Amino acid sequence: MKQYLAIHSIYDYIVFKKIDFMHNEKWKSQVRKGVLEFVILLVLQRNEYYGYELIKQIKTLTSIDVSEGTIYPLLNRLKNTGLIESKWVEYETGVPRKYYSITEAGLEAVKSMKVSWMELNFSIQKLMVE
Amino acid sequence: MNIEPKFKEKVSRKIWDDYFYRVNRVIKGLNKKQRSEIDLELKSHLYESFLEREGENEAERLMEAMENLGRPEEFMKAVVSEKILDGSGKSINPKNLLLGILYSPKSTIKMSMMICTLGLGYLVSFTLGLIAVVRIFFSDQAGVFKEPDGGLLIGITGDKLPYQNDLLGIWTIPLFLITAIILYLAVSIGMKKMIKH
Repeated sequence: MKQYLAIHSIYDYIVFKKIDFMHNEKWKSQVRKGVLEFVILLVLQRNEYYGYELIKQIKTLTSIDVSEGTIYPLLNRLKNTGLIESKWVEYETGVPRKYYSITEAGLEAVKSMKVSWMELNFSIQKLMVE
Repeated sequence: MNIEPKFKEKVSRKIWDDYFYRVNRVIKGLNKKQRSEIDLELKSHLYESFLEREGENEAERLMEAMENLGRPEEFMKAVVSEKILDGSGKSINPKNLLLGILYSPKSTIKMSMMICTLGLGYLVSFTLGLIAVVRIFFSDQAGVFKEPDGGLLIGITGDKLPYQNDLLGIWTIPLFLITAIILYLAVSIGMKKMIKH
């Protein structure tokens, strides 16, 4: 009986730990997706970058492990909304690169996003302490 | 502008071509300019990523770069869907809407429901418009009629009904036409918003 209970507890532990881990990963992925547009604008505020370079910058500057392909739909959306713009630069040796830069509207959007982020951060910090 | 890297191994060329065959299959719904821009940007990305990788095996380095970029069937869907909708500008083109739904990164159930709603909405809108047009030529056979047995008939009938039974009279054509247009616009604009969401 004792043996059965022990096995049962281990099983519960593994199953719940697994569910806990899966839920946590899913949540982290959703948060990452949600903030990625904001992160892109913040990085482009520093300089103009081409797609591959932008991903490397995001990986270096943040702990976000961004899947490379996911950046393109976001860049496309930001471009469509006028927050960023792009231009092709051709090199004599090497590959042509599509550079993205932030627009005036993008800079304005970042300002308001920063305020929203601070407010959200403050509320969550408060909730976590209480 | 184009990128066609020179590989040392034949297999690397095969892997490269195969990946871009898949990319072009995903983006085939777009126009030529949009297709070549996406193709070039992904080639540029992949080649940079490939060149930065260290290792003896060329094909392995290329496959690693592709793995990091992801499956084009997955990550390109959202781009294609948005570009199709943007291509239609402010207009609401049924063909673009349908392509937009098909390329949108939504679940199969949600996608099927959207297609059914779009189809049903257009069918009802077309039917209302058709009734209005038929009414112009056959005023006693199309519209809203009270049937002799007390029932209500909305649509087109083979029997000629007396004008006393015609419930809307001269208002039939404008009412049916306006309803058809409003329904068409509501379905199209609503669907466009849903796809973009």
